[in-house]
Amino acid sequence: MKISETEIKKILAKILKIKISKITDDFSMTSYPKWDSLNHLKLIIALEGKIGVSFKEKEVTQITSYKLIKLYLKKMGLKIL
Amino acid sequence: MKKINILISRNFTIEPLLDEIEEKLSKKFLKPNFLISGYEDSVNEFLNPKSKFYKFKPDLILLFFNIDAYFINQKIKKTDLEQQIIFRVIKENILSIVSNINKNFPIDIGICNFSNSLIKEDKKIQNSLNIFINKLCKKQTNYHLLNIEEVLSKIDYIKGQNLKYWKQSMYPFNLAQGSEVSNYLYKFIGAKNGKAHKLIILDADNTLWNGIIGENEIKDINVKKTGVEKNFYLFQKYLKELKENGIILGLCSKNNLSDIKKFFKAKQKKMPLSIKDFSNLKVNWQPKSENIKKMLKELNISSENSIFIDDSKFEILEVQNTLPNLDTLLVPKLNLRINSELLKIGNFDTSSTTDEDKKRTQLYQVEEQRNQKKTKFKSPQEYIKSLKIKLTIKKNVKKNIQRLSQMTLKTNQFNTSTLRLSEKKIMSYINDPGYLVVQCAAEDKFGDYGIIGLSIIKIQSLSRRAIVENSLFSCRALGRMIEEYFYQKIFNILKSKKFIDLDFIFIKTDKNRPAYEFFIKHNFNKKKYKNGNIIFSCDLEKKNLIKEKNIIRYN
Repeated sequence: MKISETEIKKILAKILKIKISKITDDFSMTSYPKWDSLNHLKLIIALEGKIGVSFKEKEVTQITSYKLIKLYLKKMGLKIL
Repeated sequence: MKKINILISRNFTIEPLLDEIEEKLSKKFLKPNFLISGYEDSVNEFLNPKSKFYKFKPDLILLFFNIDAYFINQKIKKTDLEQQIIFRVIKENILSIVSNINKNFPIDIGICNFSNSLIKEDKKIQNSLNIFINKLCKKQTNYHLLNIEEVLSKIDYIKGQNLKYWKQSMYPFNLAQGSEVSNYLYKFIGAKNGKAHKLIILDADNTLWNGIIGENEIKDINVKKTGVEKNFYLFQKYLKELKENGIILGLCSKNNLSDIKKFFKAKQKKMPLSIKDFSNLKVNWQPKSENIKKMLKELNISSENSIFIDDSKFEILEVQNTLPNLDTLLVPKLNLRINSELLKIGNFDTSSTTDEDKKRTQLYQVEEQRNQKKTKFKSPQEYIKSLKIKLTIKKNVKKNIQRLSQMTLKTNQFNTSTLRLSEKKIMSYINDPGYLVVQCAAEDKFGDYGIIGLSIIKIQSLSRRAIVENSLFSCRALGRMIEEYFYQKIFNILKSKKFIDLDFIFIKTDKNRPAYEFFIKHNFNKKKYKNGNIIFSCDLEKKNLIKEKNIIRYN
């Protein structure tokens, strides 16, 4: 299965209410305070719902940056364009 | 966009539900403003009149409970005695919240029942609590059971996903469940703000039956209880049930009217629906968008309170282009799952069916008869006089409260303030000596209109001034001078009580232009009021709305 970076960024941008251009590999829970635990839950739900994947319980607490989101999606066998 | 303040009291995470609700409501021109309680502070907040809950001035309150949330970090296994104690403690907790709301907020309260308990022992307590909530919601007309348990009963519980979200953030729903619960809550909020569906506009061929009248023999087109046609039969049956609960059905089909009539006659004993179940027929070869626009105008129903169902993607797109606020449903192949699709999209607020609802189709059919006669008269006055309209106007009567509340929810066009009022709120006005609640019913030679008008008037005896805080008129009775005779009667009632001035508070919306035009037409004095609103006022002694007497009679 394939997904583009823009599609992933769009999901983040909508939930975290931020411009797509601001989302880089460094973008993380620590660099962006609005990415709190509640928005993290919304983000996980949106990623799972829109992309059709299911993160493991442990992974949910580990995917705390844009870079890590991509990494875990790749681990699930997704090709990121 | 109309703003609505929604107070949410909860003991678990509900935030992921709200974005979808907000998005859907915005399509209906509603902008919700949510105030969400903490996980444990609801009782205290409701007890304290200076708390943020009170400052928020909610229009609607939603209560959410989850049994597991009461026992985070506590032992899972419970004895029978412990379960009984837990049940009593939670019940008291709910009662305390609800009784405080009831004392301080005469508004609608949606009470969600318990669902999705992860722990076996907790499920027993959950069931007992749901029986209690069910009974509680029957006690007051402004308490509404939000049956989340039933909504979730139709969706698979995905243990991994549910547990993951719960452990992470105390969010009890999985993806599919969250989406269904959001949709359910959106419909409830929409219905409480006048956005429920009133009209279903149906295509005929391959929508109501399996086949095309012009292409197949009538005998070959069937609607049966079994086989391929079963879905069509069940669909018609569901539509019939909706119609009997006050939902209007309209037929919009590219066909010859005589063929459609012939078909319904031939199948009258075999199909649940008959042609008489439709309040409006648009059967011709005109574009469907044009026909639907005409139908909406004739029935005086807004496009956002209607759904259009058709099996042709082309027709759906053609209608959507012209009427973007109209909800549409493309019929699935062979009508598979059509009922559940309609249930999902349709917002049919049939929980409190009034007498007016039950006879609504008949009311619209009688209206059609009136309209047909209209052209025979030289002047509108002559036509109105021929109808032999009689008005029954009553003040502070505790009958028909359900209908009065329903009118405040559903009436948009002739509505001076568009305040949506619960039955409890209306009752509180009736019981308040500082208010006068006037209702109006009408009948004519064709039949009964039912209750069609309401005015809620604040009376200031010292200054001899009366203020109409809310006044509305059912659109089906407009333009027949009934509104003039209704208000004139109110003027007379107030004059007899020595009142001098009367003000109407007018809150402009994108829909209530007809009410605005009425006050302009009758030369009421227009003044600016707070928050950009208007006051239309008049001197009761001088004001006379009725230029020609005896066109309408009072009972």
